[in-house]
Amino acid sequence: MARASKRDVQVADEFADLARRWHDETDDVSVTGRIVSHPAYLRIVAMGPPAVPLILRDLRDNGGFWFSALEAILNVCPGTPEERGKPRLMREAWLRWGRSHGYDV
Amino acid sequence: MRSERTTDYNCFAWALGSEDDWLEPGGRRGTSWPKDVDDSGSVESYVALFAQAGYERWEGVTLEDGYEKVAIYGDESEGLHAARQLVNGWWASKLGGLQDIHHETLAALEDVQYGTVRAVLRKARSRASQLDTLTTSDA
Repeated sequence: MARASKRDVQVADEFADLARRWHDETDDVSVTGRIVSHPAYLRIVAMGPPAVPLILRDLRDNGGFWFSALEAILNVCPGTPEERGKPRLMREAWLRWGRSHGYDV
Repeated sequence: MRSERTTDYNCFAWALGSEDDWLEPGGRRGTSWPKDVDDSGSVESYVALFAQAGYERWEGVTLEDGYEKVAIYGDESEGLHAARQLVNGWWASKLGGLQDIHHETLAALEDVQYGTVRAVLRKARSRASQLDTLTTSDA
């Protein structure tokens, strides 16, 4: 098994700090406009493709409105129009997409 | 706390009896909103959402026999939270993507996150919802 590079570890640590802050400060928020405009969320989006496997794992384990971040980084939106209107179905669509693109989720 | 934490639905959907929707205007992925309801996101748009489900605007927050009540929290620009009244007069709230809780007063949740109570609505309680609420409040 390949060892994680120093850069991979840095990315994972940075993501963990930002995601923890985002969850802590928005998990009790009821409107997504406030959830996806949180500074930590925007910084994760700015991390770009290296954040994708970490986002997908957090989505699998903790849920949350990661859909906008994934779509902004990857410029794709999986799921049918019906799935796009429900959080649970949207999460399942993204995890299916991740598995079909080689991500371990 | 009465349920597992979940982002499968928000407080507005839960107050309307759904555990499968995140009701919010704007078309963001994972959310939904009825096409024929004001989509401004204001408190009044959420009042319109509940009116479509048979609720009428009401002044009092005290428990009334035969009626279920919902309170909409918000600020000047946005609706931010909804709580529904239980048959014992307490209130139940689903907190964003966290669990639902019971609280004795509406003021207990007034803060920066949810704003203040901006509207109270009521509708006649159905037999089914009476049973549901009894089960919830006694859990």
